Amino acid sequence: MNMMTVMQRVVWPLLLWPYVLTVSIPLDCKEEEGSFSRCPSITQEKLLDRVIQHAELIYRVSEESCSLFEDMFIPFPLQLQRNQAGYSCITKALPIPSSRSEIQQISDKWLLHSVLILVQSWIEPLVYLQTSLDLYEVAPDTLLNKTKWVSEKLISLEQGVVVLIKKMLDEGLLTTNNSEHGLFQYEAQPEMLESVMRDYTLLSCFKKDAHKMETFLKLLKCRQTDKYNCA
Amino acid sequence: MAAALTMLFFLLHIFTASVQGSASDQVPPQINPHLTSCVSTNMETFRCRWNVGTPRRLSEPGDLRLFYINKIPSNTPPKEWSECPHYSTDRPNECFFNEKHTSIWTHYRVHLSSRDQSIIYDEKLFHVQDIVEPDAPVYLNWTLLNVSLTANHYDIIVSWKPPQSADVQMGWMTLQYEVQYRDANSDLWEVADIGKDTQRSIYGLQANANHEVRVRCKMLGGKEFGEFSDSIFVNVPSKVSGFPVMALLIFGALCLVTLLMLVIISQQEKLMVILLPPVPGPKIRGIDPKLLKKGKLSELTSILGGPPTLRPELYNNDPWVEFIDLDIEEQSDRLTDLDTDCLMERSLSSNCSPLSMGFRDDDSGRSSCCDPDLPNDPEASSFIPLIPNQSHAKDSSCSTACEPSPPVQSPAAGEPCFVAPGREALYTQVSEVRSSGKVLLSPEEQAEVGKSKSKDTLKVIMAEKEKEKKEFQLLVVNSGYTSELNAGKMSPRLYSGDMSEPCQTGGDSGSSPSLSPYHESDTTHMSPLPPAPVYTVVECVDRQNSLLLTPNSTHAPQLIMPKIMPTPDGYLTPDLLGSITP
Repeated sequence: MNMMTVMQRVVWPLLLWPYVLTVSIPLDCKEEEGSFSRCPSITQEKLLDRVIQHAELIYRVSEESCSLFEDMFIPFPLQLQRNQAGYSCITKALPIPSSRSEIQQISDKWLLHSVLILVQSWIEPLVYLQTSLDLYEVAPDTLLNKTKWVSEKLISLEQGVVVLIKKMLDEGLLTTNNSEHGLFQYEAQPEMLESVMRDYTLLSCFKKDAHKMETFLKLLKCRQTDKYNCA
Repeated sequence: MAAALTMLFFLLHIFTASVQGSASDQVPPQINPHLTSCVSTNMETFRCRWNVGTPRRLSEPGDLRLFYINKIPSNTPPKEWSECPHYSTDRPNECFFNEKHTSIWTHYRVHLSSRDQSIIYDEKLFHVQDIVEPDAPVYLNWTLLNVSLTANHYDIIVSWKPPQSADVQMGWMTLQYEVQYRDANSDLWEVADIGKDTQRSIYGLQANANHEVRVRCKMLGGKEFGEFSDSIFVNVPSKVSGFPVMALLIFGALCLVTLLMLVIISQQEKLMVILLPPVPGPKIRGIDPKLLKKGKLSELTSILGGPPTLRPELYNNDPWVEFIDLDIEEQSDRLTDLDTDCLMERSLSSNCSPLSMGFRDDDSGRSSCCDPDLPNDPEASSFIPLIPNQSHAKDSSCSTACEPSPPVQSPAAGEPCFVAPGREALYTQVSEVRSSGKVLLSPEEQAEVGKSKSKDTLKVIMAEKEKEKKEFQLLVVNSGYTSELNAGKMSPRLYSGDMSEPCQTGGDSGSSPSLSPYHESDTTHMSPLPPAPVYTVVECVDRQNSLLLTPNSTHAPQLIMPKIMPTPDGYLTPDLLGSITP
C-alpha cells in the first residue's frame, strides 16, 4: 500500500506536468488572421492524447479515493448496498449510452458531447463533496488531497474538451448547460450516517462516470486514428 | 429380570441408532448454494457462477435459478426479475450474459434462488466494469538481453500479447500487466512492477538454472487481476570452462603483486632516487659552499665583495671614521694639489671645475665634501658658494657695504671674490648671524676678548698673498675648533678679523700680512657665555682675503653643515646628528 502511494505520488507529477500547458492555454484564443495570436498552437492529436491522459488519471485517482473511503467509512455489508434504491447517481438521467454496441453506434460528435456533459455535470458536485469531506474529523489527508486534485483537474479537463470540440467539430463554445444544476439536488444532511452514504454514493458514481469519460475518449481516439478497425 | 434386560437392550439400541442417525446427519456440513463469482473478461459480457452446495434432500440440483435486475438509468427500472438469459452448456452452474444483456456502468442485481424465487440463496450487486478480470496474456516469449562478465548472470526481456478477448486496440480496455518469475526450485514468486507495456525486462537471473515466468493483467483501475498466463521456462547455460576463471584471475593478480613487491624491495634505493629525487642545495653564484664549510672568511669576503656596488658600505668607510684617522702626510699632498688658480682668479674659475671636482681625492679614508663619487645635491650646493658664481646674499651684503672695495661682490660683477683657498672646506665658527645678514665669526680666544665689543669674531687668518699665490691657507681658528688640516700647518699667528665687514675691514686685514689679532667688541651685543658654535661655509674669498660666508637666513644661530659628508645610505654621524637637531 505504501509502495503504491509512493509510486503514485511520484507518478502524478511526472504525468501531470504536460497538463500545465493544457491548463494554461487560454480558451478564448482566436485563430483569426488579423488577431495577434498569443496562444501556442497544438495539434489535434496531441490535444486528444492529453485529454485522454487527463481523463485516465482522473479515473485512477477517483478509484483510489473511492477505495479509501470505502475502507475507512463503509462497513462491509453496506458496500453491497451502494446504488440502492435510495441513492442513485446524479447522472442517471443523462442520455448516455451504456453498452458497447450502443457506443459504437453513436457518432464522434455525440461522444464528445457526452463527455462534455459528464464533465460539466460533475464539477459542482465535486466541490460539494470536497466541502462535505472537510467536515469529517477523521478523513485522512490523502483522501482530501485526492478529491481536491480531482475537482481541479476536472475543470481543466472541461477546458480541454471544449477546445477539442472546437477543433474537431468546428463548433463554438458550448455554454454551460443549466440542467446540471438541476441534476444535483443539494440535500440537507440529517445525520452523519446519511452524509457518509451520500458521499460514498457520490464517489462511486463519479468513479463510474470517470471511467465512462475515459472510455469514450479512447474510443474517439481510435476512431480518429484508424477508422476501419474501430468500428 | 429378563424384561428389564430386554428393555435395557432396546433402549441402548435406540440410543445408538439415534446417535448414529444424528452423526450421519452432521457429517456433511450444510452448504447453501451461493454465487461464487460474477466475472467479465472483456467488459462486454459476463458470467456468473454458483455453487450448489450440499445436496439437499428436498431440492434438486436443477432447481437453482439465477435472476437479475439490471437498472439501466435510461429506461425505467424494471420491477421484475429476469432470469438468466443463457445457462451455460459447457459447464454447469453458470449463467452467461451476452452483449445484449450486458450494459456497462449500470447496476446489476443478481439473485440465486429457487425456481419460484421463494428462497433466495445469494445475491450480488455490481457494476460490470468493476468485475472485469481480463484473460491471461498470450504469446509469452523471452529474449536474452545481457550476459554478465562472469557469465553467471544474465538479463532477459519477456514479451507477450494482450488477451484476445480484451479489446485493447480500440481502447475499450486498458490493461496493466504484472510479471512474476521464480527459480524453478523455489516456491517464492518474485513480482516485477506493474506496467502498461507488453514487455518487461528481468535482470539478474542466474545462469544454468531453470526459471519460470508468468504474466497476468488487470484493468486499469480495476480491482482484481485476471488469470495467470502459462509459464515459460528460461534457461541460459553459462560457459563454464574446465577450471574456474575467477581463481585464475586472482592467482594472476597475486603473482603480479608479488613480482611488483620484489622489484620494489630489490630496487629500493634506485626507486627512491627516482621517485624522491634529492633536493638540490642552494647555489649562489660565485660562492663555493665548500669555502663556507672550510671557514676561510677572507676568501669569502673577497668573493662576496666582488662587485663594488654590492656592499658599498664596506668600501666606503664610514665618514665618522675619518674623524678618527689622522692622516697628516696626506694632507700635505693635498695642499700641494690645491688648484689655487681656481681659487685666485675668477676667470680661471670658469675653467676650473667646481671645487668639488678639482679635488683629486682618493679614497684615503678622508671622504670629504669633495668626493666625486657621491653626489649630494644639497651638499654640493653648499660647495657651490665657493664658486664665485653663486653667492647672492653675500653679494648684496657686500655690494652695499663694499662699494669702495670692488672685490666684494658677486661673481657676476666680475671681480673676483676669490674662491676660498684650499681644496678642502675650511671651517670657521660663526658665533652669530646678524639681522643684516652679516655673519659674525667667533674669535679664537675668548679670553682675549676684553674689548668692549661684545661680539667675538673669529679671527681669520689669511695667508699672505705675497707668499704664495697658490698657497692659501685659511686657517680657521676658533676657540673650540681646529680643523685637522690646520693642525699641522697652522701658522703660529692667529689673526682675527671681522668677517662681518669684510669689505670694510678687508683691506685692513687683507693687506696687512700680519694681522694682528684684534678683537672687536660690540657693546651692543654681550655674550657672556661662549656662543654656540655655528658653522657656515666660506663662500668666497674676496680680494682682501676676507672670507665671505654664507649667511644664515634665520637669526638664530644655526649650525650649517659646512661640509657634506658622504653618508652612505643616510648614515648620520654624531656631528651630523648634532647639527641637524635644532
